[in-house]
Amino acid sequence: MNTEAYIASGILESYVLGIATEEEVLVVEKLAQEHPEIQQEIVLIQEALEAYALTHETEVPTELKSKVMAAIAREASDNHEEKIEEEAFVKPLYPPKKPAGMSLWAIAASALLVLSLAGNWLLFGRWKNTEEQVAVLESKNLQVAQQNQVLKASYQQEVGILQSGLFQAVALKGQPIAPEAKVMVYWNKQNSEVYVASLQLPTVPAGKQYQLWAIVDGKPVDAGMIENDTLLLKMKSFPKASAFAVSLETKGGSTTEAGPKGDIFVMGAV
Amino acid sequence: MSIRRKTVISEENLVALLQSKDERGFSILYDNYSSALYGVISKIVRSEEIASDVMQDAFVKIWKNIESYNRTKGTLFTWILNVARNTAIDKVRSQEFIQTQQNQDIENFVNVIDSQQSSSFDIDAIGLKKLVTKLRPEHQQIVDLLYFQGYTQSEVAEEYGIPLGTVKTRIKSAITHLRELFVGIAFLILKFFW
Repeated sequence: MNTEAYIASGILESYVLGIATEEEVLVVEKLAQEHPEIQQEIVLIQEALEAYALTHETEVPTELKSKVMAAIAREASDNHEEKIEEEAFVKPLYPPKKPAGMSLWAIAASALLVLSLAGNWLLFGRWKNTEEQVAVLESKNLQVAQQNQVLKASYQQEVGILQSGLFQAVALKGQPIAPEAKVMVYWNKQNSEVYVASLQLPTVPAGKQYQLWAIVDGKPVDAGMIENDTLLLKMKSFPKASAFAVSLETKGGSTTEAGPKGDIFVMGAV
Repeated sequence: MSIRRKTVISEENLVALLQSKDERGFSILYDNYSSALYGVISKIVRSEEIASDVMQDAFVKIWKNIESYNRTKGTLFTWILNVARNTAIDKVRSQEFIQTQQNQDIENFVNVIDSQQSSSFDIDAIGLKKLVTKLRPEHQQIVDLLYFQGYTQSEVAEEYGIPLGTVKTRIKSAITHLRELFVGIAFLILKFFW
């Protein structure tokens, strides 16, 4: 068919305006399904009329919304009542039976009731359980989110340090006691600041703590205690050092005078 | 002037809410479309009081018939506009309406409408309203007669003494003009609303 001529005929405008005859409507809808360009044209006409309608937008009295919503709610409950009435109308068709002591049905019903109550009790318990689990999971989720934020902040800080160009990175490598261990030391030679980051050390045993040492003039100098679970930590400042090392000490650490008492876990020269 | 509260929701999701007869859907529908529907209804019935009644009737009709709305045939907005329009036109044509309106002073009418028009908002910021004045008068008249007064084509032909063929061509060119004026902007507005 010649869709262009059909579109030009003006029938689609009548259709969208709602003034087409029923027969015309059927034809238009059928053709619209068959020819995408006709459907497209209908949409464009609808949009033009929608825009025209929008030019008539008028501020609505504020109280009207509650009236409209109430009318809808009435409609919703009317429907509901109609259904109930239908049921009520159907019921009398069954002749009411006389209550005859404990009939078999009554016993069965009682048994079912007991079963049902027991079932409810069981399900209620499970539901409570599930609720608790959900609460636990939610709080865990929150914790993870918080940890994630901390991680992100430290990571950004570490990237900032690396990008500043002021820091020298010193990789401390695992010693025989922990070959897989690793720690990064960032040392700002301009202002002597020392940071530790990217800590990969074995889990700290109870009562113990890692301690950073700076090797100055061939001697280990206390550079500060490493808090558990830190990601990036500012340590004591050193204007000069030839190497850094981490040892495992009893909580509180050792002094410069006493030197490291525990095993050296990682070490790296500047 | 109240703040426009529009809820951003895809039309597909809104239709799903409405068709499951979820009252929240109707609340969103109201927030998003009431000023347009009310504007169209007011334009047809020309009375604030009756417009409010018609608005309620229109929403009840939308509630009752939403299952019959089919997205492939057109947008939700067009569908509810048509429900509101038809409800209003039915009202205007009802015996009761004709009787009460005969007692009203025509002068009052104009005032009511003017005050309603001046209270519309938002769209003016984009200047869409001004565009309407660019429509040729005979084009605006024919769209208004058909769209807002519910005239049939032959009624227009009869009342204005023009041949039916002319009515048809005039509709076609009126809507073509509307499209030229609005479609680009309408697209923007609809994007803005949704």
